[in-house]
Amino acid sequence: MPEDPGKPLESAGAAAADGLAGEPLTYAAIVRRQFLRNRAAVVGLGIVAMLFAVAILVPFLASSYPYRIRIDGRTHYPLFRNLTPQDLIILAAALCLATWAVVRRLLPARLRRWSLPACLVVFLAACAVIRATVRERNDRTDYRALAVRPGADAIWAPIPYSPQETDLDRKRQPPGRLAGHLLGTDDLGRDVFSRLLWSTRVSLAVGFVAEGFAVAIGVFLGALAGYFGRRTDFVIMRLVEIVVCFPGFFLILTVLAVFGRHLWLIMLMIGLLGWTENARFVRAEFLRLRTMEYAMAARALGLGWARIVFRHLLPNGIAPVMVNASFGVAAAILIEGGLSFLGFGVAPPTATWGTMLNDGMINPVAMPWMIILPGLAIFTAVAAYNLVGEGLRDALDPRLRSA
Amino acid sequence: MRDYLIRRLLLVVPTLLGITLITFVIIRLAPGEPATLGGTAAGGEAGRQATAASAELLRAKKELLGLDKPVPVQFLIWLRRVALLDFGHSWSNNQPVITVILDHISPTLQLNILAVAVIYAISIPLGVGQAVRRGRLFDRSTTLISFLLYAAPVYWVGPLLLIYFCNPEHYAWFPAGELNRPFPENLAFFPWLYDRLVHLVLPVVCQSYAGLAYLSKQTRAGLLENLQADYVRTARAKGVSRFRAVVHHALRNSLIPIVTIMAMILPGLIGGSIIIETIFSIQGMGYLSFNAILQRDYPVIMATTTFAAVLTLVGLLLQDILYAWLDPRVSYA
Repeated sequence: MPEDPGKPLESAGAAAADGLAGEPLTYAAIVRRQFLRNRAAVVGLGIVAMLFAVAILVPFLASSYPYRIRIDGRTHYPLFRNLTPQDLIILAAALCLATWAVVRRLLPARLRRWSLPACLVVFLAACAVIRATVRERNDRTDYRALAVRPGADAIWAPIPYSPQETDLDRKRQPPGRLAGHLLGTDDLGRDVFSRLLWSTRVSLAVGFVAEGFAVAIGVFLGALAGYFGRRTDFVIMRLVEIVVCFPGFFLILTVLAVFGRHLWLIMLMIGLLGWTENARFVRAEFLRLRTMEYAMAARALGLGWARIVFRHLLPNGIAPVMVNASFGVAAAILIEGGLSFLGFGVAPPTATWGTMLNDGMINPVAMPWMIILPGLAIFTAVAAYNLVGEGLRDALDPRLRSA
Repeated sequence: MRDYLIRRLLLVVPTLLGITLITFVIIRLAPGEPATLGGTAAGGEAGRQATAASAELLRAKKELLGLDKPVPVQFLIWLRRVALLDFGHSWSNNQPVITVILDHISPTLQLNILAVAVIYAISIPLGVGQAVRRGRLFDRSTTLISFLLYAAPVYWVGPLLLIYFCNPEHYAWFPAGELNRPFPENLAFFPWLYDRLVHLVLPVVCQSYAGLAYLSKQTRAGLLENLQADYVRTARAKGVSRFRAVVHHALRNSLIPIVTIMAMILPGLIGGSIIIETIFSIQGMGYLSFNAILQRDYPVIMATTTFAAVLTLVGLLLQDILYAWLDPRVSYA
């Protein structure tokens, strides 16, 4: 194929490879293509997507309430009636995001920039409606007993146990011994499979919210340090040094011991101690970016610093943070697991993988499945996020890019 | 370089002040009264008398512990004492904090020195082997294994080891927990040493596998970059053996990041790991600090935090110095 001398080598090669001669690929498209070539990274992304799906849909996967039950000629839908406001808000968020992702592409470019704020407004409105109308019900009807009555007919979720439902007659059953409990039961007779699935929520929430804090703080301070340099840089970098020197895990334990075991506190603390790497990456990028011509042009136009930093420079300096954030999510999940393992995680009876391990440590030899399964779940999630992070890093690294 | 060092040393002071101040404020902001040692209030007249009496007691105790003063003053008092290397007395058993720490430091040191030795002894040859056999089965399989090890949480691996290797149902190869059999003082030196080492095997495995995975990856990446360098080709061309070209020429240049990682290890070396020491019931520094948190033993919490912070600072400083010393191109002008 004759080389087009007027075109940069890389985009020419890329366009040829995609059969789109004449249309250069955007940076994002190149990165996406590099990422998708990495099989391990794609597997990691698949696992992450699956964890997300489980976290969103778990009320329909594992519940003590049947989807539908017919008693005495009347039909009830207990599972749907017993969805908590929290479940509904998570579903609404997922729906909004999915709709946005599809609709955005169909919109004309003029409207596209308003699609995300619009989506957010719709979501907040939905939250308000849910909060105002839905109450948490405490339905203690024994549907299992009702379902076996003559003439009754019930359709159950794939795992017909809620994570908190105890059954002391069936405690400590290993996987496979009892027909209903595929992965066994724990010390209080709670279904292990159900608890494993419900735990996905907490650990995803901790991973993303904690790392969200870390990214927000890190990007903000790193951008300021890199853009302004001099005294601002000095002060912020000293702050980084202080935070780096903190014995992090120990400090989180201390704070939780002192202020109580709240999920928000755990996320906040992990975020407050984890932003330093992000700040360093962003700072390094900004030291380079602020000397670029378009930064100078923006300054010459008289734009304020906030607009220059966050509108013009940040989109070009955010890539390394994405890599680090993906490792950060894995680290946050590991830390949360460790806290729960020591009995400092989210307060019981909420199921998390770490608290399940903690329950299993009552007698690990008698209940090995209570160690093996939740640990395997944490391990899988952490490995998946690490794979995605490595894939992103390789995809962003121009040295590894094959034209 | 010297100017840089002086500047760095001067910066240590505000950093330490910041860390201790934040920790101090956090534990003093705590709701609840640390001076009360768990007495429940009784009802009725007797209860009121008891309450009055215990209020007096409480006041006296607060005064004794210095808790009656405002928090900033407390912090200054603490600082003045620490400047004289006096960390006060543990509130849980009234021993000087230094004594308490010295009592717990030796198991942690033993565990960590062995772990660091294991990490370096395995990961550097492993990384070299991987880089030399890049893309072959050996490289791919060991890279995969170390990736998996790196993602495996220690609070999963530790209990699994306990279940499968300390359990007559599977393999009772190692004792479960503690660092000695009962009554170790009855043993002669070599049996004692053997006993101690057998007890240390599983904790050392737990302490080292993640670092091992990380370091071998670093070695592999660093060596791969250098193996393609011109000077290695030159060395091969002038007749240097392959082994010598790899080890003497390429590896030497890849050692810089490897050595500096040592600085990251230093704080953990003495700070100990709360999780590992909990799993294996080792009464080291991690155990000490965990119990201090559980019992709200403020002087011990402050002391362990300060220790860990100082060690991290020293580690970072050491890292910079090693960096400049090993690589003359680096300058901190």
